[in-house]
Amino acid sequence: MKRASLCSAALCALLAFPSVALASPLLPDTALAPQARRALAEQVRAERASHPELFQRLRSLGGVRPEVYLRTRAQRPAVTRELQALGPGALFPMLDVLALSGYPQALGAEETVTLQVGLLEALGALQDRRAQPALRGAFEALTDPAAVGAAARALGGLCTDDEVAYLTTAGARGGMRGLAAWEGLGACRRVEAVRVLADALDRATDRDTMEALARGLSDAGSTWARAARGQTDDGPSVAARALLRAFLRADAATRPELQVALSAVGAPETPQLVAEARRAPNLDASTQRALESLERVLRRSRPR
Amino acid sequence: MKRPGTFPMEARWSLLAALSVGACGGDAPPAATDAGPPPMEAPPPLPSVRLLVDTNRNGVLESRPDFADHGAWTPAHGAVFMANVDDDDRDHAVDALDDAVNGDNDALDLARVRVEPWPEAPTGAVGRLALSEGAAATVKLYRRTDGGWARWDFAAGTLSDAELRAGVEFGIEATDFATQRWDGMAELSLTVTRGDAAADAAPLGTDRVALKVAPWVIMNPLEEAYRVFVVDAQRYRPVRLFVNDLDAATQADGMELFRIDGLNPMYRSASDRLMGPDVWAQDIMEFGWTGIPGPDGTLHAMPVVLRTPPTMRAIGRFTEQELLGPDFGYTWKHTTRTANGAGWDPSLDSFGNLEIAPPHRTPTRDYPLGRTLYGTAERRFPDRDLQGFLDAQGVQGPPVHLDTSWLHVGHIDEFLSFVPAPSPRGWRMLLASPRLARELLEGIVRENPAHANTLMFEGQSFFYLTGAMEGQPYPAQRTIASLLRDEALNAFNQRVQARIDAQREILQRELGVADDEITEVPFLWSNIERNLAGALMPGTVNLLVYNRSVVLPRPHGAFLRDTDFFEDDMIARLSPLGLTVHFAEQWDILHAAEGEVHCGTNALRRIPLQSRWWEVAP
Repeated sequence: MKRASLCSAALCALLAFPSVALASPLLPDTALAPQARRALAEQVRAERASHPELFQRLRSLGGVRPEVYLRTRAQRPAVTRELQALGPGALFPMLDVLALSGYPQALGAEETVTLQVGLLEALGALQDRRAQPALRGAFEALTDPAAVGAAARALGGLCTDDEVAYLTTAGARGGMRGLAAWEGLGACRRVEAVRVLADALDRATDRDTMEALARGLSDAGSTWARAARGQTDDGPSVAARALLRAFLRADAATRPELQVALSAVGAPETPQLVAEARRAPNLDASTQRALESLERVLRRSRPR
Repeated sequence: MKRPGTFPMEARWSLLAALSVGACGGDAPPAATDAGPPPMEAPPPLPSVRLLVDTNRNGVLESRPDFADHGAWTPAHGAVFMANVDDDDRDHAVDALDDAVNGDNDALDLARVRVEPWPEAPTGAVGRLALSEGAAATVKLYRRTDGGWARWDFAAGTLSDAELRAGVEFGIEATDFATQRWDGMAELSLTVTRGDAAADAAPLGTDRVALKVAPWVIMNPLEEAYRVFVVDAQRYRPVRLFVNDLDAATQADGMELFRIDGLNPMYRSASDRLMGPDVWAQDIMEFGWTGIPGPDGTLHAMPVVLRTPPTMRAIGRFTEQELLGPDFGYTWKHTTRTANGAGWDPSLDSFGNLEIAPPHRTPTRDYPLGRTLYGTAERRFPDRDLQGFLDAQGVQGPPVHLDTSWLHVGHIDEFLSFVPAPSPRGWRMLLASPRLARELLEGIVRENPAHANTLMFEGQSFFYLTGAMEGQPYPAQRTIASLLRDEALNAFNQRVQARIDAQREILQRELGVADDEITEVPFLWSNIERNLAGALMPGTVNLLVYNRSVVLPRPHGAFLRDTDFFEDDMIARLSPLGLTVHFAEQWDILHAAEGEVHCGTNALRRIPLQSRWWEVAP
């Protein structure tokens, strides 16, 4: 009747280390058009010749090694910050690992997705248009939602007219990639992107789409981001008005994400807009309560 | 705390008890009443066949008072018993898992049950005891014998006419707490028949009593701490720095510091042996207690440590190896990976994700033992057995669920803590605030534009070339200006603030906390990956609190006029609450690995012996 003996060291080790796969490219060959692939290979060859140390640094990342990430509190792999810290010089080494050579060590499934995500997020942080073909290839070819989302955010961060149009088209198609596109477009904080997202939110009816658009708007419309770059535009106002319109017609399950987005945008006129909404005739009780809650949250979030 | 064989026969009896006898389970013919001083008015006679338990919860068995309504259980009334999960015989196993009472100390952990004497029991009468179906797998009964105690066999055991005449003493224990499979209630019944009677003949008498197993009650941060825990491994410099700072802080406060040996081979998994020890002392165990009424009006209670579910965390063995012992219980709730299914996230099994709001009152309800808080994330969930166990305890619930889906680690202690305060409530809630951090940084630059170039996190880095956290090292330091001008970082922090504000709305509503009972704690966050947040600056809300002291992560913030602005700021916020503020160096071993001081420590607190958990309505 005593407690069974603790698992053996061997069993513990098996549980601790997921099964591994052979090293392989992280993107299928077909993700890049042959011409783009050849061009990238040329650039990588030239970069490797002049900066071999940067390529070397990508050969052993701590965040995908179980013995390292099991020491972290999350006990899950994570490699984005480690890759971001390599700086702009890592553009081609990262593109090489992502699209051409793959990672030189065997990785389990979770580590593989984490490395895909990390590379795409780190490439996105560089906002370098030379990464665009690989980012589009990743967006279209990868299947894990986290990796597709990372690709979409990286494309959004490029923030060109082409990328806004590309993500808008992808968003309109719907599905997993569509949701990722709407959220990713939020990484472009131009007012044009905010308007696209606001229009889409006005048309959206299902919860998943409304939440993805809300997350996109919370990023694209951010007042803190605008303060950081020292510019203002109508983005926060457009985002806040669209989010509030959606909030008023949304069901109870969808409202929390819309509320967070409204709060995250931080448009100065939001409290006034909410107060006006509360005065509207024929508000049902649940909407009235939701607006009261929103008002409290906004009141507490004012600068001290 | 009942001593074997010392059950005072209460001479006094209450009118209430007497009046309610008619509603009790006993239905045999009346028998002689207790001896004692002559009453003013003769009490109603008691039935002959009677089971006695401590229905009125005063720690002693009393024939009349405890007989009243003893077949029912409510928060106001009804007997309780304990999950006997300590190890009084020091055999490294929970006492209740064997079929013996392991000495006099173990006997104290059994609640008493008595078959009351029936002097007129007819010759040949036979008594049989039975347990309700739901309790049978978890509840054990022991019969008092001349030499000690013997496990009672419900299927084969009978009481003879002589035993029925003399009365028999039993002790009852549970092998476990309430779970999702057992609600913690037990009904014990006694049926007396003629020995030669047909099976379907009417019994001579029956009686039944209701008992409830004592819950596992989580200790709250306001309770007096007497021992702080940390994982030590002095040969690792980052560990040494942290433990030494913690040692200095606790020594200054006269607090015991217990160092869990992180290098003990038994506490190291394969990855621990390759790298450093598993240092998350908060996550591997949660301290609670359980108890039943003692005879002196206080609890007979024991601390009970709950071990984190994942079997692969070797450091969790510490709880069983070194804490389980006499008057110190241990419990471990976990199911298999298969039973948990897809979506199980072992990180949510960590006890940094399980906290207790200290005792409080809302307009609609009292929470005298505090209220359970834990983080949940859509499509990710903790071990199912752990969740079922926590939900089944009842006296610190219903739990408040907080959304932690926006966090990379996913624990509520990343943005929330509680500290004692000189206020009517007695405590304050601390909440992370990137908004305040940003305002403070802007204020620093506004006051002196040259401070824009002041370095934050100077000399700090993530990862090392060798040893714990091996990887490609990269520097953490950056100027205040670079933080304030980072568009993506600021957008991300604004969204984190919105997430915290949403949780704050839930917390204030559920706990009844007013705006002026919250202290905002300034630090910025970073996007770890996938838009999931972790503390960029050391998360100073993630602190250790013991008595009137707090230990915070050293912020490595902006050094202005030779002091760290963020250290000064936290001292200014917490000292007025009467708290002694310590800082500990933990960047490399905890912060860089997505945790802070609270995650790397734990505190054992004194059991509030005046608590009356049974009065808390679930």
